[in-house]
Amino acid sequence: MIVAGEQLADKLDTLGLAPELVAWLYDPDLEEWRLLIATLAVDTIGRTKLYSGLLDLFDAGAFGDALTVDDVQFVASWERSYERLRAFAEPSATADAHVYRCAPTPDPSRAERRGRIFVKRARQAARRAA
Amino acid sequence: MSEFDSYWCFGRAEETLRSAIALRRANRDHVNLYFLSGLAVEHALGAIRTKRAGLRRPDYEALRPTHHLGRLARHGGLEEELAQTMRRSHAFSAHWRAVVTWVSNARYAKVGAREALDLHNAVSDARTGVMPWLRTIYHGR
Repeated sequence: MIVAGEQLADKLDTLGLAPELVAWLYDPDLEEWRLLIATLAVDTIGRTKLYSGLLDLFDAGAFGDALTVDDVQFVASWERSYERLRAFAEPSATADAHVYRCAPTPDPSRAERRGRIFVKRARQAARRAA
Repeated sequence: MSEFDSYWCFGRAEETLRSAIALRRANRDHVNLYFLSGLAVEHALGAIRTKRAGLRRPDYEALRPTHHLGRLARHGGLEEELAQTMRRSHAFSAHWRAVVTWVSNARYAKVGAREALDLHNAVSDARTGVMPWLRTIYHGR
């Protein structure tokens, strides 16, 4: 699970998204672990396009049983989870969190550009794999 | 009785979505556009649960967390239909995944226009939106 999360974070970087916060976080309400991908691109290009890219990414290459697309959740800057992740100053592991990265929030235009590049490249990767 | 009550509940879903559509057309109040679009789905899921379980009203109180649309869908017995539809349609799958992250408390948050319009489209898109799919399920077509 930890390794698969890191592999996904690396893949998102390769495809240009470079999310600012990536972490497994335990949701006490749902009683489930979620791999949270926090990126300002959610606010700038919308969640649907990012999920479409994520689906393409999982179509293009498996991450094994340790990670499915259902485990992954995009987080917008206004959500409580974003604030919860922002509280981590550096990569760390606690009882209810495994934080891979905490990069500064990019400016909105850069986040939008990263989001659009990711969606395009993920689509291309899925086509190549099909 | 349960058919009447689920009918009333699905009517609430349609009325709530109409309110959201009015906000979108006026291009105003994006926080409520986001909230009402998700609420329409919550009502529709409640109507399906009510109809299928023969209840007089949706039993939201049985769920934790109460307003989680994914849990409501499972509670309404939609898991298999949902999985099948997502396998068939990439666009629907992306729409559902966006909708299921709806946060009812977002009415107190600074939800931006892009996010609100995106969620509204995921709910209402005529071909691959969540509400048209729920209508088909509710009306048994």
